[in-house]
Amino acid sequence: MVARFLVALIGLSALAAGSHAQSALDLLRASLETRSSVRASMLQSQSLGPSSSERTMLKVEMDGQNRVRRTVLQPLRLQGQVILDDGRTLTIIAPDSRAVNQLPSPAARMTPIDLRMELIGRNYRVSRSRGETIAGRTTTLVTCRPVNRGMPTRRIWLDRETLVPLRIQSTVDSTTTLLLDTLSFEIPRSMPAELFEAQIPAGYSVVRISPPARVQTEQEADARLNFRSWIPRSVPMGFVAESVEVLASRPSGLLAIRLSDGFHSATLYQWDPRRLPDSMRRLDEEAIFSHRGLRMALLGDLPRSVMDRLREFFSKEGV
Amino acid sequence: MNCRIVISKLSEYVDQELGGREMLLVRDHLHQCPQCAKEHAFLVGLKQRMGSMKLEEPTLGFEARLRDAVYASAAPKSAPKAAGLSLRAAVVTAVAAASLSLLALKLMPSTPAEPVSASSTTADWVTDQTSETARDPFVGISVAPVSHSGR
Repeated sequence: MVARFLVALIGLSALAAGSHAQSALDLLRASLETRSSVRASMLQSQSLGPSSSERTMLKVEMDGQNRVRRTVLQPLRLQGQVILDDGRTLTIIAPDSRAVNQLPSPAARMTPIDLRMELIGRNYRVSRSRGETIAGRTTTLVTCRPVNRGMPTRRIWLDRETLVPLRIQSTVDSTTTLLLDTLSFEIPRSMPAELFEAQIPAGYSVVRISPPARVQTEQEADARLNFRSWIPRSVPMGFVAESVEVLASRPSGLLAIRLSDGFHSATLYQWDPRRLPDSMRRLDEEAIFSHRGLRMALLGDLPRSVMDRLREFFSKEGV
Repeated sequence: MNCRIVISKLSEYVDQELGGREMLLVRDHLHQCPQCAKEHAFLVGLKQRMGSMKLEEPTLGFEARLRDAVYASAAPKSAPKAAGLSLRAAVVTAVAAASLSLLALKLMPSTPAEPVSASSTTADWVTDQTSETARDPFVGISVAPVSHSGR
């Protein structure tokens, strides 16, 4: 009798845990799906880079029509920079250097949501709980614990009403990094359209970054490059080659293989050893390795131990 | 927050250097106090006028000539080290002085604005990596640095 009761209890707990995990995944999916339609004005503090301890303060304005304007308030050396993303083009206006950079919008190149959710579901145990109040907003905390050892645990506090991420933390080896935090959050009734239009002041120099060309196969890549590329068929630690892009065609030639585990990303760059592309010139020599007669570099927002393991895998072709 | 504190923080407020709570307190005070609001309007106007001044571009090869001149003036002197000023410090001081002169040039009123110059390039790895992290709303990094390649 007691045994039967215990079995039933375990069964019920498993069911509850399953539905809880499912709803946490659904919440992440909904956050990705609805983010372009949210209108909000926020003050946010962000990490300046995956390995940087420096933080930046931004005013983030979203118009609910897939357009985002970010104005850098701090640090001083970046203050006044405006980053406009209209869903097609990302325009960065830097008043100090009187320069404007225009590149394809990252929003247009996002990992397909279905693939993303599949990877997160496979590589992380996702759960949800009540989060604390952030910038006066009620939140839901989504905790994503990695299945693969050495990968960081990610905690995301989502605004309960709009599902906008208000705080993001990453923890690896008991070290926690605050990647994003929100200091104020408002939902304005309307926002002026010109706020989201890229108006380039007279006299500014404009640099347009060419969009990368997406390819599916090595043959398709080789037709644009001056070397024979190599696309790994499998990658350890739950990563997949999510997309392949030719960043620079002949004569320099640079291939970027985008790797993702759902939350973390890395890029495996490949080029001809006889010709270093201009775009890789400032890269530290230590980050470069050789394999299959190619020069390669692996860069991304991953812990050093994971990067080392992936680099070793690629340099020894553990396929 | 009283007027004295608000006035002392007004410059930072105009430059958007204040943190969230402090910024909100100053903003609330400005809505209520006409005298501080007047001071704020003056500062904003001043900043706008300064910002609309045309920048003078140095002539072609200016940077190289400046560097050569700095090294040429610093090289023959053996005295600076004895006076506690290394060659490197002398170069830094000279470049800083030259930068200040350039800044003065930039602030001088001049001819109408030039047309925008444009060029195309491929992304360098810094821009590419920043763009990669920016495409993910769950990463929490979104500032892309301005690339100077192709300029």
